[in-house]
Amino acid sequence: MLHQYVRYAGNLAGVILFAVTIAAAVIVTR
Amino acid sequence: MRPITRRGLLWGSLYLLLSLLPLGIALLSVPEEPRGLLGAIGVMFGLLALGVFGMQVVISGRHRWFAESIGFDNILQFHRQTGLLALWLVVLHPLLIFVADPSYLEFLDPREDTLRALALIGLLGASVVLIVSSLWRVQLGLSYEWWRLLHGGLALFVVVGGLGHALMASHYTAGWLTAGLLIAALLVPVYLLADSRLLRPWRLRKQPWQVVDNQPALGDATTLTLEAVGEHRLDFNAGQFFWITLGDSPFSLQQHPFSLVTSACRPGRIAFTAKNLGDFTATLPEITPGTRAFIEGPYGAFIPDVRSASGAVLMAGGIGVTPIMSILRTFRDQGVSLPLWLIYANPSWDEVTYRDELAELEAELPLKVIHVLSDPPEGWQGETGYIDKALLERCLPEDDDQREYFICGPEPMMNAAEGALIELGVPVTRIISDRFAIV
Repeated sequence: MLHQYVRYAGNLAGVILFAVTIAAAVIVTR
Repeated sequence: MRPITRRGLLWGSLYLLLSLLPLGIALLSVPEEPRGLLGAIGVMFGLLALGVFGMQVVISGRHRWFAESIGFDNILQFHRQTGLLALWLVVLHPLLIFVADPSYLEFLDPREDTLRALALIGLLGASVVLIVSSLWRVQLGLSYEWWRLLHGGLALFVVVGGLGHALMASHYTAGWLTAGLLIAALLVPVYLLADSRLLRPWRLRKQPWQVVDNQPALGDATTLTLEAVGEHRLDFNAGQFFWITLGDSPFSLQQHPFSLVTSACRPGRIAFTAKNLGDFTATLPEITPGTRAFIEGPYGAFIPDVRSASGAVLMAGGIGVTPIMSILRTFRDQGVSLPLWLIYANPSWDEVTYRDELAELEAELPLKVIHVLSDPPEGWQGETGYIDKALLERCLPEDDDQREYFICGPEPMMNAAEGALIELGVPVTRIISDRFAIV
């Protein structure tokens, strides 16, 4: 697999984790 | 879907789920009086940081059950990228909590509670040093050996300290069930860290090797040949690499990754070739026969699929030829009839490591070797310059959807070769790269 695609995968994982965490915080505080 | 894509998706999904585990456990007990949204996001970023740091330890620990299917160099690239994510989380966690409720700033005030303030400042500082020292190790002038010791120590401190901080903050982590689950979840990376740094070398001490030959090679390189001391042997696939420690103790800080150059058909006598890069590799010419060695591995997915591929194009830059030598020697021993092309880039003819043996292999295998020199000697008839799209179009037959492409060399050469293949329409899943400058 290509180097830059692995980097994209790392960035994508970060975006997903940020989004899930913020969604969890919204649900908990609503 | 190709196997590598399927494995990547499975691996990525597992990574996401496990990273979210501490957060999921904490959400089992939502406090009766939750903070506002900003404060809650801040707290949850902290819990996510705990999960991400835990997973950083898990994925980088060279655990073959986790790394084998993806390739360890890929995992380390991913580890670097998620290290940046961890840095963001560590900074945002306190920042959002302080913005939401400035009274929490007193947590950092040593006059309020000296121990708590020092622990929190220490944890924040250790997290930042852990990540910054890794991303800019070379620029900071930190040797690989000391960096590795620092990295292991700080990782342990951050995971254990972060867990202690989460339990003591007791906001989403109150209750014995939540606390117990959180401790159990975080003990896994702590155990795996101890396994990779202490237990694995402890096991290796029973399987020593020793240097039996040391020969200079073209391109300012050295080839060390090793034999097992005892009955053990190394079973590996051609193209894989090992972490090798030279000296009497497997606990030495001097442990480095090297691709073997020998045939996988001869697992009792192995060799690796390393170019003098001015660091640890500069000491290799002085290594004398009889020196003990400890070998951990194999690792890496730089392995041609001889069953389903229609051919393999091997592209090397300089000393990046080493895993390819192992592949070619193994194929010769196995009598493999797969069509092969080696595109081998070097500055000059005198730096072409293994040039004589490659000529012999060309006669013994269905192999075409194409040398590319950026500084060719007078009268050179071969290819000149660098690997690019035009060179590949000139030297290779048209892609047939089943050929595999392997690239190993310095960073700029690999980026150029990968870019040229993509321009030619080769899909990413058939391009296998081995980046040896992984740390």
